[in-house]
Amino acid sequence: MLKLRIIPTLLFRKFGLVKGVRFSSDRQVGPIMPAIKVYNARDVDELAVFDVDAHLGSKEPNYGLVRDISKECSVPLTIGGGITHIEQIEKLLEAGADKVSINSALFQNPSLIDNAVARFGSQCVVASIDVTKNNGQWTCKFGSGTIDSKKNPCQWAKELADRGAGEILLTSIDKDGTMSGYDIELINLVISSVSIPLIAGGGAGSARDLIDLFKHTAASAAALASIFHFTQVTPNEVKRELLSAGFPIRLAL
Amino acid sequence: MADRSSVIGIIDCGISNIGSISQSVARLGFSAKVLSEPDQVQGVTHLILPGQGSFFEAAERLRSLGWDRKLKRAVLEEKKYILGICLGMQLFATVGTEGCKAAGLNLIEAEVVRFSHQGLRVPHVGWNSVFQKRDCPIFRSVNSPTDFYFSHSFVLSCESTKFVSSTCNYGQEFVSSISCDNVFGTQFHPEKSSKAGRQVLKNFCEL
Repeated sequence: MLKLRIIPTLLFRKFGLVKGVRFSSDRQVGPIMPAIKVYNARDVDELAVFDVDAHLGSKEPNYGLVRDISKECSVPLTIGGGITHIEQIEKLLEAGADKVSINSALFQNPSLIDNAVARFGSQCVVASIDVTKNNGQWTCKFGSGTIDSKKNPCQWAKELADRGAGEILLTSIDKDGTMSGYDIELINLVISSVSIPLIAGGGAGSARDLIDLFKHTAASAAALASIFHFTQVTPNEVKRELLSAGFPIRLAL
Repeated sequence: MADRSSVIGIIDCGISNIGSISQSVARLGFSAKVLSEPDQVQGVTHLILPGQGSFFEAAERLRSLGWDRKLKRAVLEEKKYILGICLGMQLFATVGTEGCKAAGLNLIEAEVVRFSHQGLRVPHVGWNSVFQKRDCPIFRSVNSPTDFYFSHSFVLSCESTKFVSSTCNYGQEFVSSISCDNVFGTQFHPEKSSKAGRQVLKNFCEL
């Protein structure tokens, strides 16, 4: 049986890991490489690593860092942040990424998905969508949540899936870093508009939040950051609780 | 047994995550050589054909770059061990039916077909249980079932079950690995499947 995935998510700025609340006021949470080694030793389902500053300029992804991370990582590795060109995806895959997560560039150039899929296949393209509620309306934001695209997340998710994205990473900006539970309403809305797997992000604070997510939505995976940075909870502890609640889960070997 | 003098050639014809696989092989202590020219097949003992993306494009690339003849000679005449991973395994098939029909390497009598939906989310992405159907050297010291990491929308449909060494379930039972003499293939990604995947790669490199 296909297992539900628990994906620790790491955000970095230069060489340090950070984590904030609702995409702002980032807190330093330590260096990158030791965290990668710990997660790999803990045999997590997957890892996702994002450069949160990458949207700010025209700078290139840090290929050397991706190479270092991938050397320490024997599970699937998703890399995101600042990807605007197909050549960058090629270099990231060469450096050892298994999937790339694309977000901001798609609002100007959605065909980047089509081109990446034609070249590298759907399985390595994760379309990332950051959503917030504005005056009662859901809207997609980009540039690490700084710019309102005025796009509806359901229509946007459907367009990206139709263009061939292999997975959707849906993050609730309002829930991000709050550790107050996933936005079940938003996840259900978006998930019903696509037939590709959806990774839910933003809000996990306890195993109970994961149980609620998988009980009330058809999410294929959960992305989590704060819970692992700021509490003593480990990925396997969360997974054991999900398993005893009856969900299909892969425990670390 | 643990013959670290094996040289593992990883075929790079621009269709895969070469970085990930070559690092996994190197981590095992084997010499990993990325092959960008078909003639380089001469210098290695084992071949790995990784692959992602479209069957049609990949099959065309193998043909236009001259890999198909070199690989067939190395595998069928020189009896070099070959491991196809994901699309790499699918390329061993007779024919792919993705979009338009394309001929594969024809090492295994099989077709490549899309997952039949039934409300399933496709691609099939994640960890899923692999059930071994018979003894196969690449599963040495691996329990059945064990979870491996998958990421694909197409599956191998074999004429006969004799090549099938394991199966997996996602709405339907499908082929998760094949073997026939010196030819091995996995639909899952051993290079991304943590300890169990490492064991499978090690088993192959030690053949």
